[in-house]
Amino acid sequence: MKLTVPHMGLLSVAYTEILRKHGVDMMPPPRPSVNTLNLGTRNSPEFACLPFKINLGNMIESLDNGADTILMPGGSGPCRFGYYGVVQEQILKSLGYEFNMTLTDNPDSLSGMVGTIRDISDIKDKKHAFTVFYLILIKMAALDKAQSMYHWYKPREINRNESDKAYSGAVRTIGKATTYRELYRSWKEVKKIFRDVKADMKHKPLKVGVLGEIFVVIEPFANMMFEKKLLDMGVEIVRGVWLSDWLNDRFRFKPFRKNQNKLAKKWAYPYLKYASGGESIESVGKTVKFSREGIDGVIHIMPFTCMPELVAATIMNRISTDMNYPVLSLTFDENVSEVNLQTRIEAFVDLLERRKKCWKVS
Amino acid sequence: MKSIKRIGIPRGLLYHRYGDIWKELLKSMGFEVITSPGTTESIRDIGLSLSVCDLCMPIKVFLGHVNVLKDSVDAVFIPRYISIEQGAYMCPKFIGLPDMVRAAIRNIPPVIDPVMNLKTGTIMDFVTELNKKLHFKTPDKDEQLRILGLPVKRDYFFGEGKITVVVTGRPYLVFDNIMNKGAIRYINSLGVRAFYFIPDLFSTEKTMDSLPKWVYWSMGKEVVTSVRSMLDNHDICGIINLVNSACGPDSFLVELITRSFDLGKKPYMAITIDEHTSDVGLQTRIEAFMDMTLKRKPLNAWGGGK
Repeated sequence: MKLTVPHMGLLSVAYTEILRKHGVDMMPPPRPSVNTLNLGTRNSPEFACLPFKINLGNMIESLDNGADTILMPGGSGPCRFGYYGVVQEQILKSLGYEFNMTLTDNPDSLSGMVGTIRDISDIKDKKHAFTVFYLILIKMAALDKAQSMYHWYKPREINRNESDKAYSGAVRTIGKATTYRELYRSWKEVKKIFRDVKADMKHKPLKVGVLGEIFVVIEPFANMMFEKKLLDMGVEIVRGVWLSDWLNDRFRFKPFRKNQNKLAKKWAYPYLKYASGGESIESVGKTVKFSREGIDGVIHIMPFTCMPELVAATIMNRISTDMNYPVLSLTFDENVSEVNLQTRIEAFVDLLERRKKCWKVS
Repeated sequence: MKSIKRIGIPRGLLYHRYGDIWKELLKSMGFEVITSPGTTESIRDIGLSLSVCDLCMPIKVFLGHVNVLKDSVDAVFIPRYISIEQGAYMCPKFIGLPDMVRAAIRNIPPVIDPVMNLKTGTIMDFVTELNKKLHFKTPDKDEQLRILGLPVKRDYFFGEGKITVVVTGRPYLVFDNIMNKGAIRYINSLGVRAFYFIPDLFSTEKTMDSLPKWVYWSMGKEVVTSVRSMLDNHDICGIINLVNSACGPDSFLVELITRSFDLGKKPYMAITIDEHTSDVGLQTRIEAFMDMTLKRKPLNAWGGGK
């Protein structure tokens, strides 16, 4: 059995090595590229959202490379994500591929995930499967932490591209860890790597909050390296959506981190009273929070025709005018041009800079 | 707070399914009910100007309806339908609809948004919340529950004709002649009768069991089931599926229908409509579809055999 799971940001770094150690023949698809997107777009329904297309492209590529089992999380929320696996399986079957599709229909439940791990690996002990699953979660949290450190260091670095090297080194170091002890040691090493980066501690860069649909936010290919572009302009990114937070809301592996979803619900209450699936409540709630926290502006990104985020985008428009707070909504699909994106971000950052100066003077 | 006497119901989205029930419910409570006029092009254009660009058309038109209503009423009635049956949701945009309306339209009278969530709650919660939001002190809850439980009309025939095609799709698209660009009127003008129906529970379950996974959108379920159950019906000569452009659930369900069912049994066409669709393009497609259907007639044992 050669198992493949479509990419979602750094998630593949978190599980690949650990599952390999426990006897799963992991075969991660190549990182999403233009070829992936083309394959996905050619074979998917017209108005399917961007994550669907990238996932489908990933699956086709890894099936071409020889994988024979696909693991795809599902769900039954109001968002389309729960139905991805079913439609993708039908499309791939009609393309003539032969494979098994494992749909984990209940990604929110711990027992479901542990059961999946027991199904695919040689771990038969329930307790052992629990520990392995929590190791994956904690590794994901470490990766996210490293990324947030990178977001902090990059605009403050003195030697150009030093923090980029530090970040990729950190991801590599954490990626190798397969036990709790190794993870702990690698985390110490990561801290050291980042401490060695020369940074201007007194510099106060612009802060931009990034919110939106989780896949587009955390997968750099889906958002056209949009965070890299912002960081290169010397802007600090404060991200409101983390994969580890999403997992933490469900599995509570970080007991001291508050449930972000519940917090967001509290902040969003005057504007959005019920979570309408996806990350809508986080987008709205955290916009309100960021506006109070002195973050200069918010960029809200979503795939084209994303249902929950459109609700959020409508409401964020209103928040923007009510609170006099800059919000930029960007929509991504396969036809977005990179130059257009660059121009819009640059204009937005210029606006924020000017706004900040005016505030200082007055 | 100003006391509420006149309540407005926008004529869009779920009004086309539950509008009569809502009207009767509010009238039984002693309020004056005003509905917005049928969709016109100007209402549509107002809606377009109020909304974010890539929203789907029914929501945009709905915003236009609210905008027309807002000056003449004391409150607007937009219930929040989260789920109308166990194990299924409505579209996410319905869940956020009252909040979207509040956000998109300025100077709006209070929005009455009782929650209908049969996934976790009951209809009683809906009634209680409605009474609370309207400051209605002396409710006759039995009567309210009776009205909410009234059956909706399930079968609709449009026009007259010897042969019949089934029109499936969301009710707000099928019953709104501006939104569907007069597609149904045009079908009638060709001498064909159009038939729209809500499938019953039994055939829904049967169809869902034949799929790899149950569809978890209530209205999506209806679309899939009505296509599936009409494939075997010999009195019907074709199926036209009206789909909104950028409709989230339908983008997958159209794919699911074409891949899961044996569509060779019956002519089937999915038409995607948005605010830019040209009437003429639509008419050409319908005409071509009807020509094809009529040519197929002698080959098949459908209809006319009574």
